[in-house]
Amino acid sequence: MALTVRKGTVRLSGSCGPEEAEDLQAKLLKRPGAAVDMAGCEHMHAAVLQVLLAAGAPVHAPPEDDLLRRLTAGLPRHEAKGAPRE
Amino acid sequence: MTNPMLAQFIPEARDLLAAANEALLSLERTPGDPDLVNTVFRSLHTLKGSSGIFDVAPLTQTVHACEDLLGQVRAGETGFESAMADGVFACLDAASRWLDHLEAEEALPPEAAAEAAALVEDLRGWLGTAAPDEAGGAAEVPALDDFSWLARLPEAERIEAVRAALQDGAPLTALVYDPAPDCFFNGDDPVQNLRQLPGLCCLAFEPRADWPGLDEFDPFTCNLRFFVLCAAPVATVGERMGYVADQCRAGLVGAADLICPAGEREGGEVFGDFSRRAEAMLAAGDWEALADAARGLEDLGAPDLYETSVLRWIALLAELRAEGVAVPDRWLSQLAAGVATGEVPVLADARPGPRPVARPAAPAPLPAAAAGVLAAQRELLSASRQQGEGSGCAARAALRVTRNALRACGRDDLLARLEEAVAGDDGGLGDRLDRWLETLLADVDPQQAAQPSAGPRTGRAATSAGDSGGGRRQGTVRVDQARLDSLMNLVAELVVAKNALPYLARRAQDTFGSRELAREIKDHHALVHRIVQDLQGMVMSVRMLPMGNVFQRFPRIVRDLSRKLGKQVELVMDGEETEADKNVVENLADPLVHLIRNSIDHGLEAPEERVAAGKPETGTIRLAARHENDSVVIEVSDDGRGIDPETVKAKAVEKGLIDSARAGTMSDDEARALIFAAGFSTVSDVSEVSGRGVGMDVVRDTVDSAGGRIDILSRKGEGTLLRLSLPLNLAVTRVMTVECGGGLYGIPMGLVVETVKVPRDRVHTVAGREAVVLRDNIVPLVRLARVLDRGGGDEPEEVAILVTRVRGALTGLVVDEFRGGMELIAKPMDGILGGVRGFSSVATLGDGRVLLILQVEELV
Repeated sequence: MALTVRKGTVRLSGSCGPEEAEDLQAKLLKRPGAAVDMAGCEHMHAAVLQVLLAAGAPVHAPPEDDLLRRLTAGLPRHEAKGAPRE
Repeated sequence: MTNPMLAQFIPEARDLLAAANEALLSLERTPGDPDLVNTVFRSLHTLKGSSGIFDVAPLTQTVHACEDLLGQVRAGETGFESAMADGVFACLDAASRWLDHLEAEEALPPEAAAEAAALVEDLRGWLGTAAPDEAGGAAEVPALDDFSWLARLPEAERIEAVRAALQDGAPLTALVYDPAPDCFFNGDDPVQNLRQLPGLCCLAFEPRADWPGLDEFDPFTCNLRFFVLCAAPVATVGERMGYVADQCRAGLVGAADLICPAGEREGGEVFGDFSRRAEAMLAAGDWEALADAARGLEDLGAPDLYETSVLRWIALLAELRAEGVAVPDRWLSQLAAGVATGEVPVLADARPGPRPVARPAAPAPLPAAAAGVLAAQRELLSASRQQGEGSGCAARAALRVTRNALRACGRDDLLARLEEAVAGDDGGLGDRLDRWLETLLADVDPQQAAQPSAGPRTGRAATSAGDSGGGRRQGTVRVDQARLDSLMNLVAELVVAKNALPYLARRAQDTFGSRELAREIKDHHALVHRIVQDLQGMVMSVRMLPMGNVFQRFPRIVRDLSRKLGKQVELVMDGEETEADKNVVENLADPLVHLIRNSIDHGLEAPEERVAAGKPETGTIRLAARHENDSVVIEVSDDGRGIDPETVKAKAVEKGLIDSARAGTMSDDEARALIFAAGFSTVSDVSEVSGRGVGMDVVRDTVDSAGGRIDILSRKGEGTLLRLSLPLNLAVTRVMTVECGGGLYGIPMGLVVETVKVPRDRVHTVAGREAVVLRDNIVPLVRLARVLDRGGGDEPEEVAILVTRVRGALTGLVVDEFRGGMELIAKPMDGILGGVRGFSSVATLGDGRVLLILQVEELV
């Protein structure tokens, strides 16, 4: 499973294929302003990237992958409210 | 499998792999045959395309690499060689394994990524030798004519790119990648394509149209446009983007093109000062001082000022110059002047030729790809109707895709017509959409629709569009095997239920005394019987598969083995079209692999040995299938050294399988049958290929359990023939029924040799066992009643003996009485009955009684 939601943050992990795009869209629609955690994301299909860009989803953690980092660099940074909770 | 698209993809992918495998094998025999190269290339290309929509990147990459290689071969840039085929075969094998895993787990095995990388790396050896452009027969990337966007690339990245370009003299390629809006439907992933770019140093992108609100945004229409700078030659970049060449523009840029300062202009005395000092340093050639001065002033100014930006460039170029890198003086002096004036002229030399700004997007009249997408929607709609799902969900999804597809190809006129046609409540949405699509697709220019293009989806679309025009649909349907199996089971139940009717008729007559009702039931039985027979025949024929399904893997196995063992082998196949029940065909696959391996490894001699024996250097393995009565017979023969009975006996004695006394009395045929004994292997050193002492006994067990037989014919020095005969279909078992101790038992007809009744005094006792002499053969007897513990009644004057042949040996079963032959549907003994020995299966008789079918091998 490449998409998980934890404490209001949508986490993308592994390789996110195009089938994930609609799921991500639905999750972001349900939680306006939710941040995304891409630290564990190795690849995302352009469809997934588009959803993030269209949503302007704030970045909780940027991806490690250089290409993905460049592609998501334009997204706003997520300002952590208080200490991160697990 | 929960994902219906995946469920459809897997068999398709297997077919494509099989086609590629087959063509590749033929290609090895006739290298350079353009049709074969094309076949392999097309199969791989289609597979790559359709795999792209699933999360199977390693599979896509591997197939892509093979496709690239074949593309080179097709373009005549690389010759085809056997070692290359090994690499491609390895990829196809891996892909096939991954598909199995994908089917079972809906994901690739975790190690697939690493494996794919290794496989691709192996292939790159050949790919590297080719000319860098025009790979895979893909179109060349058109020339880029608008370079104005270079200034929009992040300055920090541009600085690094200029540094690299000037230091190493590496060429810089500017690339505009404008993916087609519907590219996702072709299995394209622009992000993946970017990943493949060599020396990616700068990257910017923009939405083609402003992002709409998230709720109305369609993620499957590509709305991205990328601007890329790569430290690689244009040709190399073009090669990597070959498959999306029509969506790209690429051109060579110089370092000067990237030196374009930007920012708010502040102006001021301090910059004029710097400008004058810089002139002096330039004249003196004091580059380090110039760099220091630039850095010093740069630190003072706000980072987003125009002047600060110019200073950064001066610092960079001066540093490079100080290191001895060739930097034109003109650039530095113009930049230095620009600090004061707030204006740096274009440093690059004028580019030859006009530079038109943007190319207009040409609206196409419903391209084939869009027609494909639309036709796929029709299939979806019809599938959801068939499955009786609430059509609303599927219909809305199809409608959305249709809208997007039309929007993507700029057909707003059609879009309006669509909205008109589907307006109304959700109830009949699916039907309305389907009808509208049907008319639309019927209008598609047939030539255009027939155009083969990437992706199986499109291929199918073309067919459906053509068919709907004709108003008649013919074709094949892929059916899950499990459904066929349950259909078969239902027919079997029906047969049993039908067989109860004669008993019912007898009861009507005997118990209720109604002769008339009995006759009516019998009439009715005759009718039902005929229908059930036809039904059964039809289901059987649906389950029939040609043996070619199994045979097709052998050319590959033979090729690999002969290369590995250094033997020259020719495989001759015959009767691939012979059909048998799919279970039979599938059950045969593994035994045949064992037999073929054995024939090559043990049967055929090394080339020199063959020449010495006066045989042609190349050995021949013959694989033939044919129908014989109710069985399918498969023969594997070789012209090798044959099986020497004496060697086999000696080996069997050595292994303790038989004692030497027994060896002395054995016939040659019996001795040869010893190779089927568990733990037997004649070749002393265990080879990688075969000879581990497993195999032949497994073959025999498999054939036995399928109710078949295996025979060996062999002549020393001339060759060996192994003949497998199996019942045509496993669903219906023919048995001979016998009565014993008051119970009824079945014996598979294939084992029965004859039924005889002999006077009691002809039964002799030989070596403590009862036996009877029949036509000069001593047939040992087994009293079924004793073995089954049903108690022996009075010994009758005549003994009824059912003679069976089990594993080549005759055995007589002593029974009370013979009953007729019978066709029935046998069910394996599962669950708590699974451990009961002596019986192979059970069947229900028409009157509701249960018939146990004997496993004769376990009784004798």
